[in-house]
Amino acid sequence: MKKTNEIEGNKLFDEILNEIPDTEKAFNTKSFQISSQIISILENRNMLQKDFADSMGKSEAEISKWLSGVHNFTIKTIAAIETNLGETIIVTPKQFSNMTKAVEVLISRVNVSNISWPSLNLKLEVDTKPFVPPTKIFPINHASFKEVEFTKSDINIESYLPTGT
Amino acid sequence: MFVTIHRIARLTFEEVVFYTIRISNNECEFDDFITRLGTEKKYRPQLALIFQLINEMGADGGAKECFFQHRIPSKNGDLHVSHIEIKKGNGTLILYCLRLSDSLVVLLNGGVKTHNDIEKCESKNHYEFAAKMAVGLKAAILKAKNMDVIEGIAELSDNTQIEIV
Repeated sequence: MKKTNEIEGNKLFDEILNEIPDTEKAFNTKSFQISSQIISILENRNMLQKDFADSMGKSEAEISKWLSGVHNFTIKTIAAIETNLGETIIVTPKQFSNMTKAVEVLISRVNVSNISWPSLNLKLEVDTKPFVPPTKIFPINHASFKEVEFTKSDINIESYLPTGT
Repeated sequence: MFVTIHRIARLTFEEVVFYTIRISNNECEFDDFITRLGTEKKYRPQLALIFQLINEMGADGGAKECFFQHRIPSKNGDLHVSHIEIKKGNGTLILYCLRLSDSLVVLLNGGVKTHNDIEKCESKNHYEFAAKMAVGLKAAILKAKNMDVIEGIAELSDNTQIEIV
């Protein structure tokens, strides 16, 4: 398709956007990112909002507010969501660092084992916005991209955590 | 009456492209929304939050359906009017849009939400126009590409003119 007639956009857009105080802007961003993270999990599971609401014992209206992108989540609510979904929504930098170390140990152990992989190259995909613990390891086949996904149940990450963690 | 579709350069992101429409030689609808409400100090906080939400969708989350509301429930398969609604302080602002997919949104006009019943709301005329746009846009897309509008398209054609009846 051809490109559209492009317009620059109203200059007031950025002027008004920049009036948001920094703390409030940071709060809005985090609210949105948390909503996005939950949505991503539900999409990966093909889980409808109605089913998510039922599993949380909440109304669909309340779930809609959660996922609106502007909701003020409490830590208690996030903990309830994480427990219910069995997925991490928020990770601190320290937790992320520990999980990264755990996966590095796992990779080093796999490389010296007799497990037959399609390729000797292991690529660790890490999403850093927001901090998301790595839960997927992608072996890359040079002839064709072959993706193998490991769930948490396949890998006992806890057993590979550095001593003292 | 014919309208033309324009990509908003400032709101062209990797994940999402935002468009607006122009009626004849008038100002674009989204620009009119910004100018009309942006000159009133009391609505600037709500506008700022709408703009940040648009920015966040573009930068990271995508234009997921849950970030939008609907005043009237849609029929399955129809392109329907969505809106972004922000309630803060002195009032509630509502921006009507047409969400074609996670990556394509047409931003229209809106105003102050004065009543939950659309028939009694001050922004009724903008809603009605958005509803006519939905019908016209769907017809134009289907005519041009014979494509299911729910799947969305990557770009809209240059000088796309849509007839509003």
